[in-house]
Amino acid sequence: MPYQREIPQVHTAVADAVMRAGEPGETATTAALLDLAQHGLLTLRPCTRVVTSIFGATERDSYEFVVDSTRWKEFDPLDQELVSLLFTTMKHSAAMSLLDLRVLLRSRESTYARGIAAWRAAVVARAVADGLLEPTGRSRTAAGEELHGRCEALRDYIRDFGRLEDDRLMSLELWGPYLVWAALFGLADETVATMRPKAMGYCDDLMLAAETIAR
Amino acid sequence: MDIETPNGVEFSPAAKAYLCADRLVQPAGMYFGYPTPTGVKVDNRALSKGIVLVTIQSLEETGFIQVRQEQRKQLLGSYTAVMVHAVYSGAPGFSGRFLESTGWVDESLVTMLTHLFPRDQAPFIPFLDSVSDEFVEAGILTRGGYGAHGNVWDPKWLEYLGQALYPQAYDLWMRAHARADAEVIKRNVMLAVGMKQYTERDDD
Repeated sequence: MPYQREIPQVHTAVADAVMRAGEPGETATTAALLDLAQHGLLTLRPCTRVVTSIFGATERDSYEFVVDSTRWKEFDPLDQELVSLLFTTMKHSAAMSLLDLRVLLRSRESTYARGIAAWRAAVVARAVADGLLEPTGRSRTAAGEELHGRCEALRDYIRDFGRLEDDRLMSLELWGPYLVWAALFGLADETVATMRPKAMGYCDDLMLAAETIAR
Repeated sequence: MDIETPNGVEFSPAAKAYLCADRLVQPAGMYFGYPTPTGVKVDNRALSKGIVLVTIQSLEETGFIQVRQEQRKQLLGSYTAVMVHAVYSGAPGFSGRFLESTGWVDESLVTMLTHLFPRDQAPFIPFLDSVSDEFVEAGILTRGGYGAHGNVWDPKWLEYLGQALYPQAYDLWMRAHARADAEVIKRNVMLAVGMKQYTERDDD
């Protein structure tokens, strides 16, 4: 399949599980968070944090995700599980900055590892339930092969046409969903770098967040 | 005026003292310095003893515990032990852990503190880290590493609570240090630390 521009109507993590034949990768988490931000279920806003050390306290700029708990029922169950892990179990708060997230991934490594392993198992179980993976969860069904092909075609499209050099403003409006998938395919870094001079406002924040998480 | 807290959580007097430590405890250098939330390094021994003192003072004032002293034999000598009788459960945060450490029998402060201090080369440091757990639970602190290094605080809550809680933290701190048995309690703290401290002898 040469290129595909349409976004598949499937959860990004499930698509990742299908593409990797039952083993969703690190980028699935980033993409899931960005997808929630894209749909307004997580708000992304600039923030500052105070970091203490033996040399004193410093203020650092960061971005924070804030869960819109009033729309909790709109969250996909997979997203509910991921948000519960990151915000409730690890951060104990509905607001988490990217700085918090980086520190938590280091200081609560085993909690994160256990939680994310359970989340990935749930992702694979969803892919099996949707008939995209065989019951063993390690090989694709015919429908899974078809989705795999569409995802690869979308990845090639983003990689080859991700600059979106024409009709800039319209491209920026359309860019959010593609950024989510670019993050899933591990292309966020380069696409963010090429889009940075053209981005503005919320779109810029979203791209910066993708860049920070990917790093 | 009521003091706002994240989700209305009630902080223990120990946590309040921890938050305001930069204005309650003398500064210290690299060796005994413990980074307070505002980044000022204070003497970790003085802060730990103060936290035990304010906890005892507040629990006694509110009727959660009764305190008495008794002489205890130790090897060839003896020492004055502070005995704690826990009456009620249900104190917030560190105060609750302090009550639980009695095992709900009349217990000496030294034994209680050996339950609260971890076995470490410098037990005061992980002890102080554990006092700050209340802020982690409240969602305004993301713990970095050992000894408060790399701790990430929400600056708005940190500034607000630091200002709002200081008057009561200062008042309790002063009353606790004016207790008649303050020096006995401090000596008991040091005895407990001595029992939990170890040295890695890797240069033999």
